[in-house]
Amino acid sequence: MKLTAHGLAAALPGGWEGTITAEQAALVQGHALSADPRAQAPPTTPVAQFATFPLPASRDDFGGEAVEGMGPDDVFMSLLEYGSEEVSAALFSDVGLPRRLDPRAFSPRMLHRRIAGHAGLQLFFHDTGRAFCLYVVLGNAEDAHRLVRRAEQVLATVEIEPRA
Amino acid sequence: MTASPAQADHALPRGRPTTGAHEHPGANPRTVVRQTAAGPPAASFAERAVARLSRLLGRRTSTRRSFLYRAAVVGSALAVDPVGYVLKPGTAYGSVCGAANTCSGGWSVFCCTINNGANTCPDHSYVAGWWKVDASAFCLGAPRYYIDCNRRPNRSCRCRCNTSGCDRRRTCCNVFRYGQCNTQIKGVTAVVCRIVTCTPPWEWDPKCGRTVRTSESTRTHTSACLPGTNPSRIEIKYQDMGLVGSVLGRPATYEHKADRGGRKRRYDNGMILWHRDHGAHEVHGWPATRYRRSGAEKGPLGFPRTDHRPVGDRSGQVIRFERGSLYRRFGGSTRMVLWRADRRYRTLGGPRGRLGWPTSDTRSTTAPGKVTTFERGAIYMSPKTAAIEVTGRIADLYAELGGPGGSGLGFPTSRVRTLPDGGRTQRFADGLIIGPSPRRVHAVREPIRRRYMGAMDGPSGPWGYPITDTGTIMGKAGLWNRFQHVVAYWSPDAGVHWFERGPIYRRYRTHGGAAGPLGFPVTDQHTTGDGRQRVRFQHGTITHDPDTGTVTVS
Repeated sequence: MKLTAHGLAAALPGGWEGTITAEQAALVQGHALSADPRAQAPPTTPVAQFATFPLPASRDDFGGEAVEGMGPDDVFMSLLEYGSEEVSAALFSDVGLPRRLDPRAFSPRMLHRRIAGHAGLQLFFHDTGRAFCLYVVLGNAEDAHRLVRRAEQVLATVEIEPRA
Repeated sequence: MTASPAQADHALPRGRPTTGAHEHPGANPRTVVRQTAAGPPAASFAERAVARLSRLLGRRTSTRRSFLYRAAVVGSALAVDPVGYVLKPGTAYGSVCGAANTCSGGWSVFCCTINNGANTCPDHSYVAGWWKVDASAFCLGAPRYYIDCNRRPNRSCRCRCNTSGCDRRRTCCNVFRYGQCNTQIKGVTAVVCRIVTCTPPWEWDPKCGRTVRTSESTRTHTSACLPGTNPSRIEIKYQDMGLVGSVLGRPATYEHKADRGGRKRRYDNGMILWHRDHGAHEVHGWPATRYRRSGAEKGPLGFPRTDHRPVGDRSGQVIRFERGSLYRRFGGSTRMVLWRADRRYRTLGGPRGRLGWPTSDTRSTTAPGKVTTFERGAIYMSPKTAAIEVTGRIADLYAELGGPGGSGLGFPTSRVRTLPDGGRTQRFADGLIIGPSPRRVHAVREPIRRRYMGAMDGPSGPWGYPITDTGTIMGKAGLWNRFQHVVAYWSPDAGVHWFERGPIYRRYRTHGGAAGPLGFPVTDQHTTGDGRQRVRFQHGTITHDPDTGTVTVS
């Protein structure tokens, strides 16, 4: 299955599902209490999520409750784009989407929210003039080497088009 | 605008941040190694301790606390969410602090819980990113923003669970970064705690970007030190400023009614006022003292329309109110500029404009009207005239002559105008000030002004520019002005008449001028049929024969 949207594409292997969405129409509400009447709605930025388990219709950008039900064989990945003005920032200074991940870099502490048994990894980088964060959650920290290979199968297919 | 809490309290370290490095997972947080060299995700002692505590606290509910503590939490739950607490299954902790409020929930604690009540980043942390929850009851239906404070790269903090109150979440445990703020700092460190605001983070701290992230899972998360659902606008304002960590300090009164349906609350170092037309705004420090002394919202200023705002070069601050502004130059006094004077002052650029900083409050003049003085001029206004600035030598002369009440000129009615020859003139209700250059000006009062600027064509006519201010006549009702080429007199009986500054004038002066026996002129200087120059006065005539040079008084 190939997903393509918002300048991102991925060919998902069997057993994976995913979505590519862009944030987010309801933002305008965000200015109801804003002190600055000239404030504009924040820019929309795509979020691609891939998982080896059924993704609920509503989920947080970094997984949230969706990752609570992960089994020990499961992998969750979120590829989140940031504003183009961040491309030159130090946080995003690493170049290129990482296609290979070091299983030793995963940690139970490197999670959006600590869930027993899980391990995570978060990497910031820029690619083709776009700033991204890659967030990967493994369902079983003790089985990082095998699960990382599953994640890399998807990463190998991800394409990032230059920002129009 | 005042500095945001992040600006004021969480300035980033000046040193170059560690680059290309990430925390060694599970290691002492001070140990920083290259990411590619990171070891296996082994649990440290702290991690194991937290995990054990998490399991313990995860099983614990309020029913295991002491009766008194339990009663306090239940009381808070009833106050914060009475319907939810009574009707929904769950603990009192959950009603006060929301879902997943224990260490085992895996989330990070709120800053006010561990930072002495301050909704600000602790010293060893910095603003690292944010997410939002839409349509939040904590922000009156607007989005609620959660802002992570992450450990600074060169500081340490120990992973642990908070063990007091109902917000028993984790601190310094989750090595994670949302990544929209302070992106000049590379790397990911542990989240120390979270701030909440109803103000968009990119307005709250200019070092935050606007890339939106959401986390619906955190919708109910909160702490007993934060306002509950459906807070007042004043509570939201105080929260977004940092609660007790803000410049306002601790609350000194309850929130209560203010004038015209408004609300207000005082704090140790200021106040927040709300009015439906202007929203909630804070006043602190010396301006707050000045505002209170002037009667606060019931005084001449009314309700605030802005917070403290820096002035241009950040040499001071301004707060705008319904009917004026308070200006404070750092190291100087707080000045109150009111009504149309303030509008005009702001139109002219405020403290960075041509007038400079105010040097007085807007105050009454001896004539019915107001004046506000500035470093380089003044603004006058009256019930019949607009707020108009008077600057430079004209302002000095106007003040020397007595201003609106003493100068006889009344209030200014026009701004300074530059004449074709480079001269300057400014109209007043009862005269004008005019001169050939900005530094050489004189006053001409009515009705001499009317004759001068009307039939006599002003400075380009036969009179030229005035070389004296309008003078009065000792013991008589009348005025006089000396011009470059003539002298003009006015009396109620004879009107305005002039004659050249020549033999007739010199003889007139030897006879005492208008105060002498001849009285005021009743004709202008004119040429008779036989070629002589003549001026008739109330009690005589002076004639000059240019052929013989003789001057006769009859």
